[in-house]
Amino acid sequence: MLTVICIIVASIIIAFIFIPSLLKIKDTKTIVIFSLLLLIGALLNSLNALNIHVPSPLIPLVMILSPLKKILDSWREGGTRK
Amino acid sequence: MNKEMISSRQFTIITLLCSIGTAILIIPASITNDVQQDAWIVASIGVIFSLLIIKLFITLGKRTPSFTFPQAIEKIVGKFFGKAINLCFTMLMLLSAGELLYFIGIFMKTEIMPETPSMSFVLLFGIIVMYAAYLGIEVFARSAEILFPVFAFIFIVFVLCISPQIDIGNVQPILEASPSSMVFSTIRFMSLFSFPLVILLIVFPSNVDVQESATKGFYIGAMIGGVVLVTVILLSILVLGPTLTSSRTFPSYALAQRISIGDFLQRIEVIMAAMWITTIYIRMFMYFYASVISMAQVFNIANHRPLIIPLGMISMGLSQVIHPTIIESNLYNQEYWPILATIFMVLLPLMLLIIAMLRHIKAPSN
Repeated sequence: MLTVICIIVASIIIAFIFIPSLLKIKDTKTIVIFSLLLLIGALLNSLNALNIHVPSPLIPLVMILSPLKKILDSWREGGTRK
Repeated sequence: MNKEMISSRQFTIITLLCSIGTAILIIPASITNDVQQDAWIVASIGVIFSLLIIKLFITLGKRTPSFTFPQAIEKIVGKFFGKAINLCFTMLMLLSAGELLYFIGIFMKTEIMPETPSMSFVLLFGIIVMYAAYLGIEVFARSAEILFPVFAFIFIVFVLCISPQIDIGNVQPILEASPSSMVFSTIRFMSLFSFPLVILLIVFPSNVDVQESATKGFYIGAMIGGVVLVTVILLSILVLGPTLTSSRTFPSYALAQRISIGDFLQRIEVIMAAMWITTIYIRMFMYFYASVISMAQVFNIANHRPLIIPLGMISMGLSQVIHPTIIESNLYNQEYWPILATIFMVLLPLMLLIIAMLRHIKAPSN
């Protein structure tokens, strides 16, 4: 729990360092993206700190690639049989 | 904002250390598993074929000499497809950065400090990389220049200290592996060695001062990096033997543990570990910097610096969730990463080059 509080405090400090200078030049788009990414980062790290299982982002990637891998595997087996 | 420039010598050093990257730590195990004692032949073939890949990167880079890679993508394939490709590229780079942090964490945790959570190493390492990204490529290039002599010195000491234990019988019989497994292992080797060099297009040629000598430096850096990797693979096979090399997670570290000169100079493997910590830092920075630059390009953000800390936090979080176990990490690096790297780091530049040729996008000749 302490780690989560630390992460949140750190995120707020980071936001306070960057957002005022961005507000001064009225760069709203950067502020939105910056805050969104910071939120994702803080959420991900808090979930890790609380030991909540987050599925690996590689799982969908591996699912997309596995048909391709099967084709390659069949080539490899064909090659070793010779 | 002034454009940051690095010299061609700095670029050569970055190429050298970046091509070694994580490969020095994991590649001996992953290719020895498949082709046993012929791994060093596979690696040598891979290094030679890598010249072609680098030729491709350079040809693509020279087409758009004043743009970084994400800008070049948008210029070549147009705004809509360019943004889509850049977004995929950012995701891939961010995942790879997370993976490299995972490697640092798991290496320290399994080999050196087993009771410390890997997050503490990841945090320390991540802060250094974020700081380097914040200071920019110029400062990073100078740090690479400082780290290079240290790396070279440790590598030479490493080779000299381990060479008395060479047993030449370990590489025999030569050429026992089947041709198809050699082909697959070559691709596997190249996917960790030369394919990731596409990220150097972020700095080449737009941020390099003398392009002619930087082109030469690209080849020379990659070649020396290849020689270092072949040496490490050859030494692991010669000293540890193919079976032990393939069963260890980090064979280079196991190799360093074997160093023993006159029963006096022993247990210096932690000093040797500085070697791959250096190279992983360089490659990690390049991945991370690439993800920041292309993320800024996707959303048309002029100043990329505010994105560094949030993306750094995400990659540190990713390092904890990306591979639940080391077995899954090995499986991913052996089976899926080569496919992914071939698609994004060879076929994508090739496709970009063909489109650039068809659309007559060329460097302004003067």
